[in-house]
Amino acid sequence: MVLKRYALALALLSVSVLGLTGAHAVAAPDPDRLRAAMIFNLTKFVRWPEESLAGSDILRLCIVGKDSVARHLSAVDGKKVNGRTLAVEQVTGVVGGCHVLVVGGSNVEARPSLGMLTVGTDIDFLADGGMISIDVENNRMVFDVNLQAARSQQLQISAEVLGLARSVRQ
Amino acid sequence: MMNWFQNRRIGTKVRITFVVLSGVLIGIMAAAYALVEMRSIREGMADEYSRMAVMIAASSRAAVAFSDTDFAQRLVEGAMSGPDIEGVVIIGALGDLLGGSLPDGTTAQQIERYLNLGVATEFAPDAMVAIAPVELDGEVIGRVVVLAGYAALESAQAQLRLIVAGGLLLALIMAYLISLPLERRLTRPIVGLAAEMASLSKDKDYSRRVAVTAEDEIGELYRRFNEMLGEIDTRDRHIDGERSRLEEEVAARTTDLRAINSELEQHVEDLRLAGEAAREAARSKAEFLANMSHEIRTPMNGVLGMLELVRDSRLGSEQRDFVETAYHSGQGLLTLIDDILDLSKIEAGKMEIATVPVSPGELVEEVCSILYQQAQARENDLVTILQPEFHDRHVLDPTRVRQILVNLVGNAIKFTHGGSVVIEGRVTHGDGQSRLHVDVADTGIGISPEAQEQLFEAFTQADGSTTRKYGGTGLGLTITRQLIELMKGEIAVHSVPERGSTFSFSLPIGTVAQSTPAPRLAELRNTPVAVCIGSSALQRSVTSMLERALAGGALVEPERAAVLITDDPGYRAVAAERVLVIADRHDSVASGGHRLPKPLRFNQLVTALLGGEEEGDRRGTRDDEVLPSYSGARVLLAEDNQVNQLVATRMLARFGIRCDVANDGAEVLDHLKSADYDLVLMDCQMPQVDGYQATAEIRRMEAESAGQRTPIVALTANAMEGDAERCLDAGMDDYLAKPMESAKLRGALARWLTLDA
Repeated sequence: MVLKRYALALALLSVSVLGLTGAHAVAAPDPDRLRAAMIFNLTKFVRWPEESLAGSDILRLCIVGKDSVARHLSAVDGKKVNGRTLAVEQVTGVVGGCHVLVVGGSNVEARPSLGMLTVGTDIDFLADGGMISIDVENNRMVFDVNLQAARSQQLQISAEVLGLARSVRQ
Repeated sequence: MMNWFQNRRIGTKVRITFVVLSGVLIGIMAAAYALVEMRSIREGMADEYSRMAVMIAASSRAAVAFSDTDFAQRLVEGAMSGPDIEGVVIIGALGDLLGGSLPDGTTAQQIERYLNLGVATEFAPDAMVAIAPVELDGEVIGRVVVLAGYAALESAQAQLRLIVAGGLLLALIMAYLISLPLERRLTRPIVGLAAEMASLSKDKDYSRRVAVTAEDEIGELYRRFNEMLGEIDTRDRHIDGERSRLEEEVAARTTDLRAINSELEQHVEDLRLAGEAAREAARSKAEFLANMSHEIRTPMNGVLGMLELVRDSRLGSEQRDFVETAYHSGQGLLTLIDDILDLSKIEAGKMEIATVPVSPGELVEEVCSILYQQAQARENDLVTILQPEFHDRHVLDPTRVRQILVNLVGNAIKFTHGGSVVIEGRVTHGDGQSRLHVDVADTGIGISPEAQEQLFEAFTQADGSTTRKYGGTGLGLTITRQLIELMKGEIAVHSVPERGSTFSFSLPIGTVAQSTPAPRLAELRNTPVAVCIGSSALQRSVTSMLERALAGGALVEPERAAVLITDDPGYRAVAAERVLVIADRHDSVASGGHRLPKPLRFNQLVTALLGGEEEGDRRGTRDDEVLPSYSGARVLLAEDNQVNQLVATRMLARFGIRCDVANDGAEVLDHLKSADYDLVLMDCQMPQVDGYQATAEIRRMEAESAGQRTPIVALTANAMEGDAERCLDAGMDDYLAKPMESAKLRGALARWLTLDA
């Protein structure tokens, strides 16, 4: 069964070369780029409270601190997520009104705010009240979720995503 | 097949039709049902697996979005536990494999093909393919492919087939069962009609009618059948009437016919009686003729005997001529009587044909000798030209052939003067049958074509005046033709008036083994012979004889011949050893020449060629003839007629015999009792005791007394065939036909008496 899967993987290599979905050209696996894609995908599995959205169709994704992921995230600026347009912006200090806050480095303090999803890069981030941290393990991107923190800010993270998380803090 | 069907009974036809029809209808319906059902099963299957693919796609959304292969694989494992699932594949947006399990042998190309299908479901040959997109936020981020086996589908199909087949079978059985009573209802009237017709054709009772039971077409058929019966009945009655009328008519006609028939029978009977009367008359005529001939012969015997005695006495030449004429006239009369007798015998069918081996050549030469003087008297040459084989012995009736030859040659001489009569003879073989051919050609007065036609009829000559001019009975040719026909031969005549006639006849003859040629002929074989003859007919005659005598040896030139044959009496000066001159007796022959007397005979020629002397003339001249003397002999003459007694005693006296005379049979016996005789001349017809009875008595007495057997010679006027046998049967030893002639008497005496010492 395992052997077969490898064979299948090999077979599918040729399928990918043919380029079934041309929108995502594949370059060398860049960890930042993969992290940016993961952040973008995660937004699709999160439901924000109506108050935070305030009748607007803009979903603000804010990057605070110096983070190498910012360059890749700007690529998804203007994309639709659940019917809302993603607006990617670099912020310094004032983070009110951001729906997603990507925190670059551990030195930045991210104060919890209603309807704001905080995304960090190490496990300690969750202990500090962060909601999702993305890490690299065995050359794979994995994430952990602090569900309690998210729920306290009235954010609902889909069970589908939770099934994929390395760990979920209740 | 069509024939087979047509020969079935109607009931069978109905049943077959019904069952086949039901089978076809139910079969079509069952097929339609199966088709629809199969389709719904497939659709159900497609639905089921399509839903499963959608479910897997939904639950793999996150796994695909985050390319979580572990999770995706877990999902695949879970899905594989479903019924008939053979493979599940989850693929990301980039075509990367996130999870999957596939049956052995599945290739990348197959998967790619499935992905390219672009439809939700597909019934591929080995599996059903269901494809569902993985969507996230309105975007397709991957795909799920589910492969399902057909096992369930196939078992469903098998079940369906079973149901359809069972249903069809059940339906056919039901159709058959239903058809049974239906068939009976349909066929009963037809079968009934057929049975009715069968019994009708057996009984021939056309007054019967069939009961009509229904108002459909069969009822109509019944009615028409009844009408037909009525028609037949009517006709039968009509025919019966006609027949009885005809029978009456036939009976009437039969009665008429019977009357006519009996009338006819009466006629036939009358005719038969008339025929019998006619035959009786003919027989009476024949008997009358025979009797007449006998009655005439007896006095003629006297006349001719006396004339012969007178002729042999000393007479003056004038008287001798008178006597000769009277004698010849008597001979002519006797010939006429003989001819009439022959004719009546032939017509009465009493003529019998003998078969004796004899040489026809000798017969012809003998006839020529008999007739030669007659020919000479009319200055005619008489020549025979006979093929060598003609001299061989053949089986025929010599008496009749001689008679025919005498008639034809005699006629030829009679109607020719100063010409020639040539007799040509030959034997032919063909179709296993030998035939004798003889042509008698003369240069006489000939016969007109009209006369030729009735030439062979009785009492006919060329014309009435001929008889007066040439004499003759006119019966000769008739007898000749009848004799030839009796011997199964043919005769024909070819004649040109004033130029001559040729009579040709041919007869079938029997062959006999030929004896080898006589030794004296062998001596002749190499003799050089030359012929120098002026007359061509005579030349041919001599040549034909030499051909046989020399056995094919060639003739030579006169200069080189040892023997020369000529007809020139004055022939001289040749180198030949012998010169044979053909000449009449009284012609002189040059010295050194040897006479060959005419008519030329084969045996004489052979003798002459061998150097033999001319045979003496046995007949001699009457006046100086010396008769043998039997003066010592005792002879008894039994004769009732006094003239004949006189003739016989005078004739016997010429042989020096003085005989005793008995007037009847009783006197013969008296004489024999008192004396011994060396010879008895016995007339057969005598009053009281006739010759036959007397002879029988003599022989009986001789047997009693063991005495010496006295020779008895019959004297008979009955020239009929069979008389000789009758005489010999009666115990006589020989016979003499009357009229008694001295030559015949001489022969008989020579046989039974011994000459004086």
